[in-house]
Amino acid sequence: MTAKEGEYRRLPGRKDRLFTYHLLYQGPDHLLGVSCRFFVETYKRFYFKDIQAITCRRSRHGLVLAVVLAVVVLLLLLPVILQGAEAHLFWKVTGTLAGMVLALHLVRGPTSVCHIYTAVQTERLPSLARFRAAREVLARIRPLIEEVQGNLETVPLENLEPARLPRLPAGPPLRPESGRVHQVLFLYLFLEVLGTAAPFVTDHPAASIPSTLVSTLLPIPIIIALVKQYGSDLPAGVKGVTWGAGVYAALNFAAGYGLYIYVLIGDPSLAENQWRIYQAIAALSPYERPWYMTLLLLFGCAALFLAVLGLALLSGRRRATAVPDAPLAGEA
Amino acid sequence: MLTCGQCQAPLTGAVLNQDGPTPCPTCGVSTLAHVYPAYFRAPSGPDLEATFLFEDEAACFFHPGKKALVPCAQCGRFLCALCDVEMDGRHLCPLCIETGQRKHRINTLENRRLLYDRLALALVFVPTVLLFLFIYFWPLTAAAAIFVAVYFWRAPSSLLPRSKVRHVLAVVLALAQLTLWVMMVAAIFF
Repeated sequence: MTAKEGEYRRLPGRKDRLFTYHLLYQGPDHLLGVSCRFFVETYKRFYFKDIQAITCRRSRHGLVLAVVLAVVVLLLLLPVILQGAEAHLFWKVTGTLAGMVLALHLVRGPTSVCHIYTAVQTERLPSLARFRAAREVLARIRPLIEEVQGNLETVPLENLEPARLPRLPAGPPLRPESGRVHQVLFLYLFLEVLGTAAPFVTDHPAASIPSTLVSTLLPIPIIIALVKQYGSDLPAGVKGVTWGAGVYAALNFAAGYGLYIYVLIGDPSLAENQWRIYQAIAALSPYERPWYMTLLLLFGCAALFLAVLGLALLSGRRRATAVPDAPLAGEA
Repeated sequence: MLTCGQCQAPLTGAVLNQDGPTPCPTCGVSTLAHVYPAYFRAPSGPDLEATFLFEDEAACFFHPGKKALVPCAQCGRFLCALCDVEMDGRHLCPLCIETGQRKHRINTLENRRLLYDRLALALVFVPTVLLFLFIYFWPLTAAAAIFVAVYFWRAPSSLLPRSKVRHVLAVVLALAQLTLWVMMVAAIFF
């Protein structure tokens, strides 16, 4: 049985991922959180009479995404900046598209994280991913909740007792992890950067073998790091960068395979001799092929970004958890 | 108490129930937090004294030793304070709730639905996008899309009002895909 027309009103805010979306609706006496993953929609209801609190805070996700997009736009528009109107159409089109994505992200405003509290649960509201939408939703539902519970101004804010809010069950204890494996992984990514830079410097086939080897072996430290970080006390940022390195490795593999196919399509006779394939790949000049240059620059910058960010997060964690030196004898 | 999501410091009255966002007193992150009167409401439970059964009173259908307070709005069985579940302004018994959930008669108990129209569209779009991997299977996926769109035309879809346009679109696109596939095969072999 489907809800009647007009029973639910869509509230501002929406979060989309590759195969999922999150929405929030206002019902006659409750909020309806809708999440769809692939083909299955799931619903969560929060009745106005049960809502104890809603909190929203700005998150750093938007800023990080803006920086990443800005770097991508800059890289794609660099040939246009340097060559002007003579730049290849490929750079103009891709740079413009990336610029539009960045502009749209900036126009939508800062990102946010929102939670809703009841007597028995604390749930995140994923659809309120933008601060502007979150403010609008809170302003819209406030009179509805006040109609059921009473005026907010009567709430004694000076008397917030800790026992009132539900205590989330404590999860399994986190395993202490030194982060050495992750440090090795992030340092390994610097080798990957060198591998992507090699075609700019030399076309000798000897340069393509080490870079191929580095890329082929990259999944090993990634998998070890992913296993080590599972259930560990490493910061969420470090874990996220490790997963990012995994995505990078997968895309790198796909790009390498695409390059392999591209070379074979140009000369199918190369398939008989692996060394000739390496020679053909090494002979590809990024200066003559804009798409190849873009590919190398993007992958090189991505690897550098992951390496620097991962090492920075690890060193920040080490500083935060460093045990202060014991006071010397005689000191207060 | 309510804490900042970033630094976990307690949020004070200066931050709560403000009209606009205010910085967290500890980390400075812009925060908007509303605390409602329900936060201070004592939890209410069943009136246990009312469960004592006297000789001349009706008993609960599920607990013969307990006093019946209300009848089930669906089946009419007498219910005690423990068995009574108030939902959408009605008093229901556990069996009627279970039946209502199983037969999709109680909207408020439904927490998941399979979207057949979305499935039908995916059966058309995914093979089209992954052209070189799935082109040989286009007849199968297109036929599957048409079957899903037609067979589940009347099946309950989303809990929210939703038109049938996706069903129609899936059928049209699947037919177009089939036609294109036939034309390609004809061009290759004839």
